[in-house]
Amino acid sequence: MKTLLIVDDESSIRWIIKVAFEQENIRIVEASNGEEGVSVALQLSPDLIIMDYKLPGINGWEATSKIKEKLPNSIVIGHTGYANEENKKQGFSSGCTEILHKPVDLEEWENVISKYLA
Amino acid sequence: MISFAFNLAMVLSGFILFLLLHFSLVIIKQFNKFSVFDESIEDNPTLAFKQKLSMFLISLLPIFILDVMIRLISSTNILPLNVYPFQGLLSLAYLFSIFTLINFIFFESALTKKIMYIFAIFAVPLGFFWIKTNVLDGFFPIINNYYLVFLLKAIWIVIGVFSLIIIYNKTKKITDHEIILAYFKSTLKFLLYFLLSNIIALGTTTMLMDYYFVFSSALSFGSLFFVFVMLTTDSNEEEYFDKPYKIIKQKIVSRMMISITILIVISLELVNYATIYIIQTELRNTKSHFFVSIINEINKEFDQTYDELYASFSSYFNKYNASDQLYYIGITLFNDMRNIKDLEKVVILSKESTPLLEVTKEEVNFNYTTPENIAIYKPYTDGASKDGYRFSFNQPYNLIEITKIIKDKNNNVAYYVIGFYKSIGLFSKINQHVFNPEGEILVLNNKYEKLYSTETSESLKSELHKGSFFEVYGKNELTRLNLLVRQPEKFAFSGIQKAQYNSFFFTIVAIIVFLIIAFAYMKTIEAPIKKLQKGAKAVGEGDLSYEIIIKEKNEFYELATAFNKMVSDLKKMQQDQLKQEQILSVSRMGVALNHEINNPVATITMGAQLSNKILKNIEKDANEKTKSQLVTLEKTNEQIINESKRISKILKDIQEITNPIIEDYVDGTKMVKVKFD
Repeated sequence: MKTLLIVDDESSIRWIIKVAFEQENIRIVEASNGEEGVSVALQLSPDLIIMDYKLPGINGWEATSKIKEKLPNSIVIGHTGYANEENKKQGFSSGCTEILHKPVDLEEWENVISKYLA
Repeated sequence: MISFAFNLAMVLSGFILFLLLHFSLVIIKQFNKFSVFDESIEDNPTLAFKQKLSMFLISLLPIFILDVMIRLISSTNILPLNVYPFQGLLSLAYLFSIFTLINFIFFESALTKKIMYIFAIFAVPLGFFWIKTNVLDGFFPIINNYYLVFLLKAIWIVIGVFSLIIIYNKTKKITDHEIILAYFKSTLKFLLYFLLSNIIALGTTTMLMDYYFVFSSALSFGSLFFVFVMLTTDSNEEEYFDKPYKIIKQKIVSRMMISITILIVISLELVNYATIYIIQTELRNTKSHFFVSIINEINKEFDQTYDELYASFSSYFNKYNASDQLYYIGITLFNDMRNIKDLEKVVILSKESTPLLEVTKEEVNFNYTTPENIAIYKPYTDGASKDGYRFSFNQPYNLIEITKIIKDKNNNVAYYVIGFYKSIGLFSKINQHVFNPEGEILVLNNKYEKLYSTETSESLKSELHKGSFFEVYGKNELTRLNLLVRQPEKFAFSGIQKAQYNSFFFTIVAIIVFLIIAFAYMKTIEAPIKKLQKGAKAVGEGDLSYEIIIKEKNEFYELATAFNKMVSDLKKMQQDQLKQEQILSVSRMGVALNHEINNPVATITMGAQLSNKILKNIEKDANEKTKSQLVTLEKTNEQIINESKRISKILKDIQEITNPIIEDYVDGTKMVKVKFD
């Protein structure tokens, strides 16, 4: 049983991903902000973390680096509304494995999730 | 004591000069450090304004230094008594070097070398003047301690030589001669104005008797003219826009020169006054100084040869031939011949004792009977002792005759006329402005007994007997007579006093004139400064539409222009900033849109995609009717997905437009530049 953590303040996005990818062998857990995301990640050590950049409180990249501190092997997929390179660079340097640009459609999610949770 | 103080002051002034040079170099170094002369800051209006303001303030500095120097010089009573013409040349040379120095300070940025070079140029003639006046002409006329004089001169010369060597070594390295030549020429132009004005002024000042006063007054009046020239020679307007920075420097220099000139004029007047004061003091201390020169003048005339005298007489007696003239003159000598017993003849001898004319007793008697001769002849002394001199006054010809009475081998008495003296000349001597006409010239014999006197006034006699007078003795080598010049103290310096009053008057007039000029000048400064102040205040309170208007094309015009440029630049900057703020808020909106809309769009897209996926699963088991409905639903979902993607693309485009702004926005710093493709 694999664990997927979605950290996003948009409940609709969390819901869609949950509906689309929740299967027998994938458990999906949610967090609505950065701090919560970090604490859940540290508790459950998820196999894959989907991390939004813009979050209330600490942003996604900060949360990522906090998670990476404790769980260096965890895989974090970032997604951001900012299209610039600088933001992407920051995301990678905080520990994101991949960064997707919003809006991300279902196919992209399928590709990424199947890639890391196969 | 004055001479000593003078010497000391001369040496000290040398040191002061070098100190000033040193300090000016230090100041110049500071200029370079703070880039006051950096022209590249022209595009920064605030800095340019500061630069111009500080330049204006700095330009006042040499005036203060000069002022201090003048005060110092005035207080030390510096006066080279016998070097008036050199004094003038020296002043010009100094003036020239000062002008050049100022020119260089304010026109060049790499200064040190050039200043040294130009200083060397002027150190050579100055050094020449110093040597000429100090060593050859004897700079110190009245001094007792010659060792001290030589020591001081030696110190001065050694300093001069050393500085020349140092300067020479430094100037060897300078290569940029063209600039130096240019500024040499520009300075020469100023000097030319100065000299021209002096020539004009010379004509107006001849009422002052002494040529030194004429010269120095000419300098004063010339300076006035110079001020006028400086005020009216404005550079043309085109240059204002081509090289505004250079022009403002020129403006400052010229304004500074005017101020310096005013100070020079005032100081010259002060020096004049001090000169007279010192002459008077010296005279009071040495008493005989001027009287000796008068005695020398008289003695010179007594030394005239017969030939010279006869030559001058022939203009009076041109109707006679040479021997007739001698005869005629001889006759007048012997009106009292009859009073002398045993007189055989009168011999008139030349200086070399060659007999020029012999008059026998018979001839004298014959000629003497002319009644008009008796009328015109008036003996000044009743008689003369044997072996003594006799002085008589020949009234129609204004001659004083000096006759020696001698005896020949046969014990015959003869009159040897040994000299004539033109009394007009004598009286004119005591009419000099340095000597009151009330004075008296006495001719004394070996025993200092009075033989002849020019004394005419009874009142003077009483004055003389009060004992309060100056008198000087001098011996005439030809006649071996003593000359005594005496003058009541009361009148002795009336000429000098007159000159002093004149000078005092001119000083007062000059000061008043320059006070008026200074006041007017101050007013011209005050008004624009107030305008600038008002402008600065208004701008400080945030009124960026304020504009300072100065019509006169001077450095304040430049300051105002710079100020206005600064303000308009500020205004432009503010407007730019406003514009940028607007762009920034648009970009912020873009960012917000991007984020806020992206999420729901993503949800919609994903939702549609998910529902299509689910629909496809249902489709497998559905009947035909349901299938066609599901296909319709799927198509509807496709439409939703396409439309959502379109929205995403639009958002992406907006983000690309605002991309550079977002970069900075993300960093948390304020945006500075905006780039649109």
